[in-house]
Amino acid sequence: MRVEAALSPADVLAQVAAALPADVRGNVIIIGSLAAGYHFFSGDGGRAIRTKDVDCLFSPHSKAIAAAAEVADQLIRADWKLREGPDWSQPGKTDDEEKDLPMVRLRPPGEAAASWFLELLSAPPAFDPGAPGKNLRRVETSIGHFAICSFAFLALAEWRPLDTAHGVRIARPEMMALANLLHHPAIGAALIAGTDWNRSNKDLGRVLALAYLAIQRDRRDGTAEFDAWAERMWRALQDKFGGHAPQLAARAGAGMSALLASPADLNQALRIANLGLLASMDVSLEAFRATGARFMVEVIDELEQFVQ
Amino acid sequence: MVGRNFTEDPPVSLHWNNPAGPDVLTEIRRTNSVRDVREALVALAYAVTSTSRPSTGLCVIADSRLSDGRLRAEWERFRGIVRSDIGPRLYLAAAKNGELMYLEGAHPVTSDAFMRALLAAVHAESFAAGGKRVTRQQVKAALVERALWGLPPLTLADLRRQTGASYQTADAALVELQMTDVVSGMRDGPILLNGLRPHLLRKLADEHASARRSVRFVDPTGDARAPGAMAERLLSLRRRHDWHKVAVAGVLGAWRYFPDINITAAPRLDLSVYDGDQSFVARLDAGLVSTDDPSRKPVLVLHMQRDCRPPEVAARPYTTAARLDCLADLEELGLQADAREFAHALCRLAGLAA
Repeated sequence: MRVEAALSPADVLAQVAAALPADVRGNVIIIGSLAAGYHFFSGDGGRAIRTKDVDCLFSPHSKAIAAAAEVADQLIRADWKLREGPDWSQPGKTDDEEKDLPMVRLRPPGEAAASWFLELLSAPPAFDPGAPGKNLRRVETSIGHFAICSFAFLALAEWRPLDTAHGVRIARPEMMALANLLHHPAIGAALIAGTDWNRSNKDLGRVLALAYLAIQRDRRDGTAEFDAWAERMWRALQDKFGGHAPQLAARAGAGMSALLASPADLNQALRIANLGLLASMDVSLEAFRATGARFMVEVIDELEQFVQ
Repeated sequence: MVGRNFTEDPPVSLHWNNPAGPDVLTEIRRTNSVRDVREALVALAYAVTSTSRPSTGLCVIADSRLSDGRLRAEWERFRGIVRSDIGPRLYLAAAKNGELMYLEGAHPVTSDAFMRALLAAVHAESFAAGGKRVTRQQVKAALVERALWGLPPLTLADLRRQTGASYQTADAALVELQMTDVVSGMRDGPILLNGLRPHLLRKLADEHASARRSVRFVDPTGDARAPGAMAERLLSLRRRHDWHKVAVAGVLGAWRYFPDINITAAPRLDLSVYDGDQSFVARLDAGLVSTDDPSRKPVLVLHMQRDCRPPEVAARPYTTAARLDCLADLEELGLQADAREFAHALCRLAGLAA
C-alpha cells in the first residue's frame, strides 16, 4: 500500500485557490480531507494530512458544468496535467458515453512528483429518493470531453459552507460527516481500488476522525461546536431534503452502529484514518472507540430526538 | 414475564417466565462470604428441581470482594457434589459495576429483555442490600449534615425515623459522637452537636469517605470535558432525564457552597449518587471508561452512598451534594489546606464555633 506524502492543508488550499479563475471561486466548495485539514489544522503548522485527492465541488448544480469547464481549461492552460494512468490520462470524445468519460483529475504544474491531484465534482440536483445516488455529467473542455460526478448527499456540503482567507469555501465538518453517514447505512462490500480497504470503513472512519478533531478543538479552545452538530445536521436535512429529513435523520446512525459493533471493521477504519486525516496524531483504538460512543450519544441520539 | 416470588415455586430473586424454553430462576446475592455463595447455589439447585415448569438456575454474586479464582473454586467444588442431572442446568456469574461475567459457560438465555430485567434486578438487589443496613456512620453523617445546614436538631426518635436506623445503631452512633465530645448533654431531648469543630468535622468526613463505594472513570481520548463543563452538561441533561439522585460534589460542590473559598481548579468531577444507579454516565459522556487501576487519573468519580442531606433539603431538586460529601471528597483528593478552609467555613456558616 502506498502512503501519501504529508501535506500542509493551508499551503495546498492556497495553491488551489490561486489557480482558480477569480470569477468561479465563489462557486467552489472544497470538501474531503483538505477541507477538514484546513478547518482543524490551518493555525497549526505542525499538523499535516495525507491525501492524494483534493475534491473541488461546484455549486450550485445549475452552474457546475460551466464552472467546471472554465476551471479545467484555465488549469490546463496553466500547465496542470491530467493525472497519469490508463484510465485518466486521455480526455474522452464526443461520442463517448458519460459513463466511459474520464473524471477531471489534474496535477499541479512543475511538480512531477506531486502527490496530490485536483478532482472536480458537481453539486447534486434536487433530491429524488428514487434516483441513483451517483450521477455523471459531461464537461466539454478545449482538449476534449470529461465527466464530473455528483452524489446525492453531497448537497449537505453546500449547507452554509465556511469562508476561508483564499476566496474559496470549505464544507462544514459535520456536513461531510452526515453525507458519509447517509451514504453508508451499513458496512458495504465495496473496496477502494488498489487496496483491501473497505470503502464504507474509510468513510465512516472519517466521520469519527472529524468528531475526534472537533471534540479536541472544543476542549482546546473552550468552544462547543461539537454540541451543535446534531442541530445543524437536522436543519441542513430539512433545508436540503425537505419532507425526507425525518426518515434520513432516523437512519443516519445505522452504518456507524454497525462499524462500532464490528472490531475488525473499526480497526481498519482507524488504520485508514491514522494514515489520512489523523496522520499527525496516531489515535489509539481505545480513543477511537470512545469517540464513537460519544458520537452516537451526543450526535446520533440527539439527531433522532429532532425526529420525535 | 418477570416476577419476584409471585408463584408457589420456591422463592428466588428473579423468576423469568421464558416462553421460548425453560424458565430462568435467578438468585442474586451481594456478599463477600463463601458460605453465602454456597448457600445460594444449594438454594438454587433446590429451586430448579421444585418449579412447576422446567427451569434453569443462574446464581449472581454482586459487588463481591471474592476473587474470580475463589468463586471459580467454589463453583467447581459445588459442581463436584451436585447431581449430574441438575449441575448442567445451573450457572454462576459475578456482577460488578453493572457488568456480568460468567465463571464457566454463559447462560443460554441472552435476549435483551432478559438481560435488562436481570441487570435491573442485580442493581435493585445491590442497592436494597446497601439500604437495608443503616450503619452508625450513616446515622452520624445525617446528624452532622443537619447541623451543617443549621436546621433544628432532632431527637433520637426523630433521627431513627429519618434514617431508618435501629435503636441500637442510632444509640451507638450517639455514643461515638459523645465520646469525641461532638455531642454533649442529655440524651432524651434534641441532639445538639455543639461540640462540632472543624478538626472533628474533618475526621467525620474521613470516616464518611471510607464508608462509601467509589467508581472511577478515565477518558481514553484525553479530551473529556473539563469538570465544570461536565457538571453543566449533567445539570442540563438532568432536566430531561430522571437523574434526581445525582448531585455535584467535590471541589465544584464546595465552590457552590462557598464561592469565595480559595480552592485551586477542580482536578476531576466528583458526583454523589444516592440511588446506586450509574447508568446516567453513558449519556453524560459515553466515551468514559470505568477503571480499577489507581494509577490512571480519573476525570469522573462517582461516590455511591446514602443521601445524608436532611429530608427537607433532599426532597427539593437540589443539585449540590451534601456538604459532608464535598468535604470528604476534598480530603480524599488530598487537598488538605482546602479541606481545612472548607471545614472552617462550614462550621462558621452553621453557627458552630470555628
